[in-house]
Amino acid sequence: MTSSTTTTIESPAAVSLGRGLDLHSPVMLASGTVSYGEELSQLCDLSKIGGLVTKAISPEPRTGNPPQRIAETSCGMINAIGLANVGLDKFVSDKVPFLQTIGTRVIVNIAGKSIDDYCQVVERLDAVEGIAAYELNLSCPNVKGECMIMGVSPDATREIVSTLRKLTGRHLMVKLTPNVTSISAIALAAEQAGADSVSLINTVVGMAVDHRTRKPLLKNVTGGLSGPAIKPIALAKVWEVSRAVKIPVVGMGGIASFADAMEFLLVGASAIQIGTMNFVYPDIGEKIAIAIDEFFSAPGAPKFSEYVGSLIV
Amino acid sequence: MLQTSTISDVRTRISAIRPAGTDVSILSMPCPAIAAAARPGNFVNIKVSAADQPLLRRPFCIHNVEGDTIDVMVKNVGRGTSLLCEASCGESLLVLGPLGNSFGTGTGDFDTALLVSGGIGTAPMRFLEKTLAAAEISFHHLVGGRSRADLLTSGLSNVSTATDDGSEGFHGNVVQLLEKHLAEQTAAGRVKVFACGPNPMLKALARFCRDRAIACELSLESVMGCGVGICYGCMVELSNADGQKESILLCREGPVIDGERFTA
Ligand SMILES: Cc1cc2nc3c(=O)[nH]c(=O)nc-3n(C[C@H](O)[C@H](O)[C@H](O)COP(=O)(O)OP(=O)(O)OC[C@H]3O[C@@H](n4cnc5c(N)ncnc54)[C@H](O)[C@@H]3O)c2cc1C
Ligand SMILES: Cc1cc2nc3c(=O)[nH]c(=O)nc-3n(C[C@H](O)[C@H](O)[C@H](O)COP(=O)(O)O)c2cc1C
Ligand code: FES
Repeated sequence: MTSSTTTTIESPAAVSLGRGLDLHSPVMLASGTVSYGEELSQLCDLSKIGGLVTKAISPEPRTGNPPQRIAETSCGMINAIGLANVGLDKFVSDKVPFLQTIGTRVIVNIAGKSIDDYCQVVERLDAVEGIAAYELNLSCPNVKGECMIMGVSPDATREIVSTLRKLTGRHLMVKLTPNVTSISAIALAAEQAGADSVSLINTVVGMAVDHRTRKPLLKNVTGGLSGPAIKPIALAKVWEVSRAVKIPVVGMGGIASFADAMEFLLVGASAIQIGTMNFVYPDIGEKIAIAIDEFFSAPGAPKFSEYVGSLIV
Repeated sequence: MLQTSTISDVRTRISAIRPAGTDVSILSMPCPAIAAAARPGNFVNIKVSAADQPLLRRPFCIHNVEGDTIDVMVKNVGRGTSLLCEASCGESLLVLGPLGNSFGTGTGDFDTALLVSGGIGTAPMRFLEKTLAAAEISFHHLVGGRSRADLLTSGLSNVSTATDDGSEGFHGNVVQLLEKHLAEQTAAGRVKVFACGPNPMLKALARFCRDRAIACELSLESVMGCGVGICYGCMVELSNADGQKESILLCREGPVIDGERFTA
């Protein structure tokens, strides 16, 4: 069960998130913003980045929601893509072979409608080389639970994580939605059930309206807000969760620069993910990874592990 | 419909900007790598300002290529396009391209190209005309707009126009104008239609061409988040006469599609 096409580069910003998820840079690219890596690889040196999280994979292919699926809002965007993806079979046959060559850790984001969906994806992918971790996206409606979102309930989170824990020896990263009353309660449930890390935040529920047409901009009416607009929310949630759990926290939400990434490390993230800004600057991950590496390589620089969570309050 | 391969992200400066009609400007920017690889129908994705707002890039067809320089023709419809239309020479932009596929001019199965466009849809037609002329393929433009002020014919040759209000050219829409010209054009040989404009116009045109078995390629529009295939935001739903439906990411599998796929 190895994942090594990655040549380990000795970097002072290398970080281990546990259970074999060793990153040569703390910078990852977020799910749903990099497809399966092919397009971006022409515009960005992915080997400089610590990890790439794929678009959510579900057992069956999905076309997603009807258009219009995205809209720009103040300093951000809302999306209702609807977890469009190639499905498990095509992912393994068409996408994994390329991912095995990119020289960075591959984390597969999984979305399902039931626990069984998640199990199906993990069981199949466990037999496939070149995957370092699974990121569980629990923010989709659960058919069994009358359209309840699994990730908003500590009990449902505990149930799915402990089920998958028994199934796989690979790193399990649980992705947290900010659209809950207590995000740290969900994070704790994930930790207790055997998660190796948590990543946050997923998008914030949002809406955009055109007063002239009296219509919502998205066909789906509501969507997920992302980009620089959500950074303050994300920082606060990462700060809260990193003090509640002992497992590593992966921070994201609006990261658009080296400085933004450092802020997430300060509030307690051991690694970060870049999402929306890949759409604007396709090489942003490479640039931020290099800048972080240079910062921690400079004479007199703090140690990476000591810098994480060293916010002065 | 050819797929492009070499994409560059070019930091450039506006070298010229000139008005081309009501609320429309043409911007010139030196982008050697993009100019060298561009094909008619391709687009570029422009980061209009370094600020967080507007955040996303804005897509524009390549209007013309002159040596190392590319032109885009921009209609002011909102925040991003107003910044571009009101920009001054020397302003810095990030231009990603060439993106998307291109018009199939080299298919050899037609004698005359009919370039049908409406409103800002005329933007890609200059570059298309140039490519056809260089290949010594005869062409004829059919350009439509609501009124005289909407016709963006500057720089084009061999043009017939139509306006909804009859203020210039044929009184009616471009599909009716095409109908009027068709007999004369088909008498001279096989025709192929290349079109760009509002989606409802393109749908009407696709049906018109299907009913007469005329080859037709359309350049469609959708809202785009990235232009390169990583956001999945630009999906458009197509359906053909047999009721077959498909969903495509327009930035990768378009913007140019075979008219057959857009008739239902
Ligand atoms: C492949 C492609 C090629 C294009 N080529 C040209 C061109 O050559 N010249 C030109 O002037 N315009 C072109 N457009 C349209 C242009 O991209 C939009 O007008 C522009 O993005 C609007 O930005 P804004 O910030 O001014 O508008 P916003 O303030 O964001 O929105 C204003 C209005 O424009 C609409 N809009 C927003 N984005 C798009 C979009 N991508 N396509 C269509 N409508 C949109 C919104 O729904 C809204 O009604 C093209 C679009 C595509 C997809
Ligand atoms: C277009 C789009 C699609 C996304 N798809 C997914 C997805 O499939 N699975 C998931 O867990 N998160 C998805 N996300 C959420 C991002 O991974 C990230 O959590 C969020 O956008 C916040 O980070 P950002 O502000 O840097 O974009 C998506 C985000 C965007 C903008
Ligand atoms: S515009 Fe992002 S996938 Fe097409």
